[in-house]
Amino acid sequence: MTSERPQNPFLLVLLTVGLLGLLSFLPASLTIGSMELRPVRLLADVLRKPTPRRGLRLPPPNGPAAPGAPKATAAADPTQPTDTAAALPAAPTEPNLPGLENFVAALRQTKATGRQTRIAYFGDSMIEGDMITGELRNLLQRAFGGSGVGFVPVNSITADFRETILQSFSDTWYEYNLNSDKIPAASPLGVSGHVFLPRELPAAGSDVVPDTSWVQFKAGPAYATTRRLPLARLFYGPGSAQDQVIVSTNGHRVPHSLPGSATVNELVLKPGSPARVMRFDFANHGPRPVYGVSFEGEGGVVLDNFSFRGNSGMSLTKIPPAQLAAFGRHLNYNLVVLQYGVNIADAKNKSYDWYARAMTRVVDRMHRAFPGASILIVGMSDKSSRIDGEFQTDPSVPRLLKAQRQLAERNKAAFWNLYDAMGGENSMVRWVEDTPPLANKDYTHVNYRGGRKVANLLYNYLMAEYNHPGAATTEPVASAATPKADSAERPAPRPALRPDSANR
Amino acid sequence: MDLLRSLVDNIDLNRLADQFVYHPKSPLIFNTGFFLLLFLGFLAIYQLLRNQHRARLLYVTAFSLFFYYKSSGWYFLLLVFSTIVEYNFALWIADSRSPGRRKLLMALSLLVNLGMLFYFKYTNFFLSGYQALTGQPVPVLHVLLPVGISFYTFQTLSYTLDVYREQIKPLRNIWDFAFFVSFFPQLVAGPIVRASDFIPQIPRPPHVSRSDMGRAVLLIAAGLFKKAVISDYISLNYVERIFDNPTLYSGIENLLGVYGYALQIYCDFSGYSDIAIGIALLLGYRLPPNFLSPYQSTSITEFWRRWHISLSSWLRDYLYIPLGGNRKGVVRQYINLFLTMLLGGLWHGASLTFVAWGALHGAALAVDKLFQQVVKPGNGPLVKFLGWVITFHFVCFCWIFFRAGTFEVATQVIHQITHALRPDLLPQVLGAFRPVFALMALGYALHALPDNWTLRLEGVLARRSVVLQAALIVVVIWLVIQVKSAEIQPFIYFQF
Repeated sequence: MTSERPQNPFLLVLLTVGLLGLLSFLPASLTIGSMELRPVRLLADVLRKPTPRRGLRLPPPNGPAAPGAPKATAAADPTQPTDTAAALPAAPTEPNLPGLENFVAALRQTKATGRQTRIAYFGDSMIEGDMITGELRNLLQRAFGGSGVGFVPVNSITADFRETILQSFSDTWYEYNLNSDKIPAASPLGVSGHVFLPRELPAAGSDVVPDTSWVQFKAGPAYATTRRLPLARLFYGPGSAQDQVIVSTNGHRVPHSLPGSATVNELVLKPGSPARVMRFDFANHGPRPVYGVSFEGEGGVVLDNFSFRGNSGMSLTKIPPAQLAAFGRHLNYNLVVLQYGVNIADAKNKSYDWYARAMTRVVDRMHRAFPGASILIVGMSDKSSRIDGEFQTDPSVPRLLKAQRQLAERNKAAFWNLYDAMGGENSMVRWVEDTPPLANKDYTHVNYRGGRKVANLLYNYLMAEYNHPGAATTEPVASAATPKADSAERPAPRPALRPDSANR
Repeated sequence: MDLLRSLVDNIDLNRLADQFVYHPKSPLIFNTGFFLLLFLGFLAIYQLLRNQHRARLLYVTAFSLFFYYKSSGWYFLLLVFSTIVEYNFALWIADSRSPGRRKLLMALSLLVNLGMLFYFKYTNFFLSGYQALTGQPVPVLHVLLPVGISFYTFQTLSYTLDVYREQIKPLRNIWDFAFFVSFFPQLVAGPIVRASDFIPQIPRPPHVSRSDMGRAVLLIAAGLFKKAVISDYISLNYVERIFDNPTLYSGIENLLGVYGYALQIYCDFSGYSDIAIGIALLLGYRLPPNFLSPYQSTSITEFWRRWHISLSSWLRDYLYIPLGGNRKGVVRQYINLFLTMLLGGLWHGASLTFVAWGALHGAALAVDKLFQQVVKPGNGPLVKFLGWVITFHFVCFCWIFFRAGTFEVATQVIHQITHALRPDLLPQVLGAFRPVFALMALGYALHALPDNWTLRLEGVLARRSVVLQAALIVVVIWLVIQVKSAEIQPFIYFQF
């Protein structure tokens, strides 16, 4: 073997590099069928960069630099192409909008008299399992008093991992929700976007062993204020007068009848000492809608988490207005938060006017159903796509933020720009790459650690509004006073004050 | 010529110089364009020095140290330190007559090597363990883990231990030893090369035969494909998402995530090993094979003969056998197996989940031994098939702990699979992630090919011209580029 002429590995590598060099002369946007081929750029790391790209790696550790600054750089460089995928989307920072007066007034009352302030927090998978809302509730309850996790629907896909309440239930429930095609008029959806029907008891005289529907709640260990189940309010619709619910509190079983025949009724249960575990067994003789149980203290802050996976917010109109209003009369909301966006963020959408229109109906219904409540639109979080091999803010994000802000502006709602609070352009990339990471590798969802950070950012914003109403939205900030080209149609730019610099 | 000039004019000297500096976030790895260019330059001079033995060794050593510097910054001094210390320990051991003195020197060498490994890799692990046990708060030290330390400490340890056992003679030239320790192809990710395999190759002039070249081309092409096409694609577009947040996904998605991870870790690790072995071959050095289609194993014992062979044989020779191996009775043998695997688990990382992974494998090895001795199941096709099914699934089950990072996440994955499987979602999931599952199927199909096919392919490649060999590598690199810059799979829900 060794007598054989030795091979020349240098030649092998030289040929490899040479062939790759030839491939790099192929036109940049070649396609085979429907697949777009990516160009070969062997020397990409050492060649001059064709355009001075805005700093992907500039590290504003705690949030964006002055809003408008990136815009200025882009404007200073007229050579930068704007229509190719390579050009980073300009990130027009949508300033926050005021509108939390009712909520702030309620919080002041709570601080002075202890009266309850109640928040409905609607969202998609970003708040699933009490992510973001768990920490926000904890911060508010520590500052203003209050206890309990608020409204919990009977069944939930998050039951297995929600840390603020541990929930188990029989598989005998029948459920309609925002995704159901046909929802019977007799069982309208409740405020959470669900309605649950317990299995009916067998007819009298039948010897079938009753297989009742039940749900059990156990206080979760995550936060001190939610480690017990204080007062419980069971919400249900009309049904047979003989129906009963057997409530087991710490093992004591007490049957209760279900009074009321309105579309929404409630049964208030106040255990002698705060419970850790509560179970509800339903013995009903006919169909009876059941919605959920709210665990709350007498006063302070209550925050209801209404997460619905995959939702864009638009389907909330499936909850009948009368039903929403009926819940409003029971629950007296002071603030309604709507956090959506990731499920419709798609670079193919050039404009989100249709979304603003569809959501206007939702906001309008919320205003009517909860007349005493402020409404806060949370602008979507940053979300990345891979463009030219690099993870960058998806081009749809600024478009969607613009629509969300318009939605708020036209409907007298407050607007908080979460994207900006996270750090603005490409912050998702930094959150994913942070050690420890704050977001998942889908470059869309924050993780629990990131969720806590978002909660703190939001809390700081709310507290800035509480301490100086309008401060976080209207006070001009010197560094950001430059008006921006795309905001010309707006009366006056209202730059965002970063929540983490707001006093608290 | 004009073309060349415009190319040269276009080179940004600052960016070029920057490539040679250590960047913590971008270590020098084989599957980068910069490495390819660097390797071309390296080979040009290597080829010129091929008949100057001493100069060639020094040149490779210098390049290896630069390579390590690119991955770990100033920690390359640690490698220098390790080299000087172990070189001298081995000499002192070999030159000393008294057994007591030899033993003492060996113990000191172990102390230095394991002490270094322990300090850099396990300090915080044990500090937090102490805190958990006693409740006393301890400060967390910011110790950065030097890349590859687990590999090269094991490599130098095997050298000193072999000298101590008089299985090899120590090297009498520190540059030879430095060449062995720092040899860049296997430096940061293995295989762990034994001194007895490598040292005899040092004095010989490197020779690359036709069949070596065919083998190297196949190893590099296949390694790149496994590492940078299959593993990188399925990990980014599917597996990582599942393990980041198992509860967002149904059981069937989690189950596919576990199968995906099994393929991902194999392709990632064995692919990188293959490239290392291929590069070493191009330089004229033979490294031992590290993986032999491990998922074809029909028993867990066989699995460990096919998976990360350089580590498992290291553990066998320097841990299991010194512990007593099978020489001290059956019970001791089981305990030894278990302990070996427990420590083997800890070697992979400072976390209890790795310990659990090692313990599961250790227990399984013991059970397998017992089963083979007591039941004697024979070797029929049905037994083999059942053995394969059980082995593969057991290995996958253990990977959950290996990947999850915490027991909480591992439990969530298992819970989703056992409590929320939703097999009805399978067609939807497969349809939505078509490229991911097509690659997975391809990966497993290639894995199932018989080993002699690989040999035949090596032979075919060896007989082809170097242009065709280069073309094969170019095709794979082109695929890598397509995958690297492809848009990621969008996020999708199935569970409503």
